[in-house]
Amino acid sequence: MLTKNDKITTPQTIVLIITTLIGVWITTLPATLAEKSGPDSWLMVIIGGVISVLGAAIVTSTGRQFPEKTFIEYSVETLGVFGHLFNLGLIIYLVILTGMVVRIFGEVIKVFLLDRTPIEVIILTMLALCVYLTRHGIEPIARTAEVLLPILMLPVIIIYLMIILFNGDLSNFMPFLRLDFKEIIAGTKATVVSFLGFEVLLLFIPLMQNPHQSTYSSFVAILMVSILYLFVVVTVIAVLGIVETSLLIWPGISVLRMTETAGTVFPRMDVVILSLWSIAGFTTISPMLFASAFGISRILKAREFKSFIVPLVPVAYMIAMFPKDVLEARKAVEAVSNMGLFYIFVVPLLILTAHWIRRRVLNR
Amino acid sequence: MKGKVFILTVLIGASIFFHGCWNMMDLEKKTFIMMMGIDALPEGQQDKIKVTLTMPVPRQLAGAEGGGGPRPETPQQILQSTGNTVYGTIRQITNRLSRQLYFEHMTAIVIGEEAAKGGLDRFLDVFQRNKDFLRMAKLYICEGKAEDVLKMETEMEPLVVTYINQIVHFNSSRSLRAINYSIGKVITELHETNGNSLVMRIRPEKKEAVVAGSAVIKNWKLVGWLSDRETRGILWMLKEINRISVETSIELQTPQKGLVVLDLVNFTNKTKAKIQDGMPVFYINMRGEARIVEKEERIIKKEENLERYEKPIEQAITKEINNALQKVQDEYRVDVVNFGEHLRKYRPDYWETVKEKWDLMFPHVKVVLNVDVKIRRQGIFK
Amino acid sequence: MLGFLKNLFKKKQPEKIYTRPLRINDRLSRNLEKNLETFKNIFKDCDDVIFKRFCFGPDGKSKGLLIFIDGLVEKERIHYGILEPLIYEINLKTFNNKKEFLGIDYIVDQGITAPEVKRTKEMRELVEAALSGETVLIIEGFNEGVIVGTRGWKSRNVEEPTSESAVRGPREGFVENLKTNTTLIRRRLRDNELKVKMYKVGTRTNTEVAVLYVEDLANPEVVKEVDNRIRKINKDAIQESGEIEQLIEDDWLSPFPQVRYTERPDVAVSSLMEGKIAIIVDTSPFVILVPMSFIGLLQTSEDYFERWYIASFIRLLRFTGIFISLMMPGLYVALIAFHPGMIPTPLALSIAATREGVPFTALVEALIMSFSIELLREAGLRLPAPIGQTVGMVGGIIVGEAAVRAGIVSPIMVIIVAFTAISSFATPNYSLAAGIRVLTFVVLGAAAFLGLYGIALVFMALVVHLVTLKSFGSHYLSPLVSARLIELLDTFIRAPLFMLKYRPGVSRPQEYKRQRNERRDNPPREESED
Repeated sequence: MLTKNDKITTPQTIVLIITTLIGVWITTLPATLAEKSGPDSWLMVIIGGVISVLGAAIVTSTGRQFPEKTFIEYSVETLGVFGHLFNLGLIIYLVILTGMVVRIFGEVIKVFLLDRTPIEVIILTMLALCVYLTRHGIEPIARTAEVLLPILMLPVIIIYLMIILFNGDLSNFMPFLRLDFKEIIAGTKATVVSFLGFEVLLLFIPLMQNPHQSTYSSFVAILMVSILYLFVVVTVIAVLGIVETSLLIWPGISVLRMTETAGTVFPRMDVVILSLWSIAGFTTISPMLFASAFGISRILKAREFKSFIVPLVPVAYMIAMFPKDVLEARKAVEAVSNMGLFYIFVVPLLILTAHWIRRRVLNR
Repeated sequence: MKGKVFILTVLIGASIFFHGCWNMMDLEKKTFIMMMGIDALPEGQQDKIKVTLTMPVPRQLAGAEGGGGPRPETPQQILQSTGNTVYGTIRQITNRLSRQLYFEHMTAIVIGEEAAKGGLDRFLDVFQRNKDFLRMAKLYICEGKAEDVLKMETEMEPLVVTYINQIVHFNSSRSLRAINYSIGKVITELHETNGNSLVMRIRPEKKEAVVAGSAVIKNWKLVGWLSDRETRGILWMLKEINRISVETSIELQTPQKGLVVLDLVNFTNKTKAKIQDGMPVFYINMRGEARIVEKEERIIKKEENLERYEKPIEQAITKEINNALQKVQDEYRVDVVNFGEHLRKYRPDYWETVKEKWDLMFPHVKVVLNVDVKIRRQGIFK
Repeated sequence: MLGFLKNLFKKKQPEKIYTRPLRINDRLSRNLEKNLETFKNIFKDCDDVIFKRFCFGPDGKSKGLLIFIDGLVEKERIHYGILEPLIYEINLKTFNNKKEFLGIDYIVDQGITAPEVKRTKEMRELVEAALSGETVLIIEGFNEGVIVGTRGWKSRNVEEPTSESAVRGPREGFVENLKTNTTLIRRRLRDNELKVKMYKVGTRTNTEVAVLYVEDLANPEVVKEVDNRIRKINKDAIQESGEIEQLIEDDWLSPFPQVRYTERPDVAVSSLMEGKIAIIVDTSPFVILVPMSFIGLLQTSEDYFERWYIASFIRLLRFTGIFISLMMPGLYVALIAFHPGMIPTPLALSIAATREGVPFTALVEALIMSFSIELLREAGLRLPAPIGQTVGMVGGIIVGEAAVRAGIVSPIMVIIVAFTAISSFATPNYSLAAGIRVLTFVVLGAAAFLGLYGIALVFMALVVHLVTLKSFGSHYLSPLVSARLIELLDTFIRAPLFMLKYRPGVSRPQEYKRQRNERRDNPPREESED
């Protein structure tokens, strides 16, 4: 139905968060997990999901205290000067993250689909498409996510299901629950990194029709995403085994090349999935680009965010091209994700504490 | 409006500056490599390998247009080159090739005996690293030289690769005398067990090939062969059987003299490991069904008792498995039956203590078999 | 550049509504001769305008003037409705007082027996009336003219619409006569809530446009918007509803049509019952329906007249057809040129074999063949009916065959292109099919540039475009993006009629429920025979 104001409904929020989270990490997660956690990778996914829910709860309850304001405003309100610093940091983080995600996305497309195409082209075309969507505002972004989510999910689920049914060996998970505490911590960090993406909620809560349902929405969304991640990780490790999975760079895609029985009509499902996977990248990069532009517009107290989108593109592009090879790119991502964790867990708690203190002081 | 201008600029700019579609290469300018063969060069030239590639000549394969007329000669072309690494050698071949190489339809890779003996890990890296190669291509190790396989002139199928792949496809499920491992599966196995696996075995003759039995790989090197029956013995213990539906037949000597041939279907097996006196003992339970397909003796009795063949079958199967085990344990001393894996998964604590010396322990583990076969049918004739 | 910047800062001025030049400003005078002069001037050199002077009245001394256009009027009505009563019957009457008679009121109320009568002092109205087929009556001594409804002209019979034929369904189609069209709708929708509002559009053509809607179903905002947009049209000539469509649609840049048109009254009535608004344009048999969604464009009335199995199946087929006609050539190029690994090996070898000797790349081939098919289609349309179809088929087959023999294209390409054309014929809406035909080339270009990734990009761009497209305020992708999942019963499939309880949300009707309860589960109770 027509919503005259640019606000997103609760189901739209759920879908938006889901598609933002399901980005580029789905292909690398099994490798990282297999390397760090071995057969208990499935447990790590669940733990990662739980921790992400925790993080989302922190972010959203902070946001709910200030239903009409974004992080930009209430950080200044509660933390004063530090608020300004955090705002700047957040924008920088978002822009860097956008650049990183689009780079990883480009790498996968280049390696598997278009190996002779310059990665600049892949990145630029994807950014151009994101600009087209982002200029319309948050609601079209959410609506597009609504339409694209089933198109992305159904084939993915069906194909992975076929792979695991015909080729999977669940006993690959067998030495059961033998991780010690240190390993769990290490593995958790890797998993939570793949769930990153809902820090955009810091900026989106006032755009919801019902900001008070933000916690519920993020909970549902993360639940769905965890299930999907679990499914993919289980499929990959069941089919390829722990050792192999940890040796591959993009096991999420490599596992698709095992489809011998699944393809009587089309022997090569990986190409289909890769082209669908552009949808996953698109739905992840667009909200991030929007969040960056929107955040800047709030900092500068501008009327419209639209004009900030286009200037951000060259910045994101340069960031994307900055790492000189794949390994560097992945290391950069890990570094950036630390910032993300900071903004999810640490900063909102600071804000909440400061807010609470203020209230006590003011009430006196 | 500004956004639309930007997008258009990007697209037009991209088309102009990055002119050309880099990945677009028309189909007929590519040549599909159907099979690859890797051989080690014998004398002196120690580490050199010879790579043979098969490519189809499309004109001979055209469907409707070129129909009729006598069958032309084998519609495939062979190119070879020698070099140090697989990829490097392949690139050399392009010196003589009028088209671009395209590997995404390569469904069979054959490695010669000598090359395999020298160590497989040398060749397998290129297949894992490059996306151009299919993980579901089939890996064969051939008795003799790989190039002989590629040079065969097959009659029934136009291409050798179709021929041998189809043999494997039917043989592995219909008679269980060959294994059906793609290169992906082999690589996974090798990684998991640090170098042990079975690989398909092929023996080329002038116009036919025999794909049966298997090659035993230990520590990434070829150490020997298993015959088709021995392979079957091993396969009966592996888990693959549970998933695929197989048929195989066994000839039996019955007490009344004469041979009976039975078809065995619907197998399942379960493996359990128990530790006794510090050594693992593996209990394997197998169940299956059978039906009689050929009998030498004539039955005059009116009552036919199917059950009386059950015991002989079970004994025959057990014997076969034990033979295979003996070969694998005593002669080759390599764990291709995934016992080590089993211990790692189900008895992890124990495995931690023995995993270093598993290679030494394996030949001494005991296996207790329990085979249970039920004969259900006997065809349409008494 | 500067001008562009200046425009950014200029204040928006209020929109002016263009009114037609008032060429005829005068009013009637009381003098009949003067009026006659004026009219003769206005209609100078219009030899089909007839001026009839007559005398009537008790003493035969009152003078009157009839003005009408030959061919537009039903002359019998003039005779029996105006002249006869005025000339004969008034003469036969005896008036107590002569003054009783004099007066337009008397003539209008008791004199003229024609049912539609209107009075006016404006010259302009009289001229327009005459041009519309009415008869103008002017009487000496009065500056008011009388317009009598006498329309009657030859128009096409109601017959089966050519562009939309159905296997099962009524065989009546709209014609070029507005009143007939409204009749066809009124017959099917006998509800007093069906409102008909008339407009005149086109500064020169003065075409009559009727807007129909069911008042308690249609959304008043949409009605208002339609009213607004029609009033804003200031083109000089309107001949077809297509022109109205283009002038009131939301996004003229989009390849997708945002209104639906139909030649079938049953379709119009179904839409009205959903809360949509119908716009009928005189002289055009195509009626416009707004607001419309993408899914709505894929539906035909037949879907509802057949049972739900076949209807659902055909709908799915159509949807697949659209997808195929959009993507097929692009997919071909992408697969052949970029990712041949995706094709099963025997097929790949076969295709490679058949492409031996073709000098062009897959892209050029696809372009040549698509272009030829489009030319063939156009050619088929221009030729008279029986020849056209034969030429289309024969031309396609022969040209395709010959091209393959000559080695210009490969047989696979011919199959692909033919299949694409067939799929696009399955699209029920011609505008939509036309839009998609154009988009096929865009997809082809993207495929040639970046293979499957390019197709994915274009597909996503299309989704974004569709998602943001609006038709009179409703989302174009309405059932898919609204939260009303119940509507899915009528989009890709068609659930049995008793399940379709709600109206589609695209028209944002005021009342959603269509029917009260479920179908008859129990047979009707038998009246006991007592």
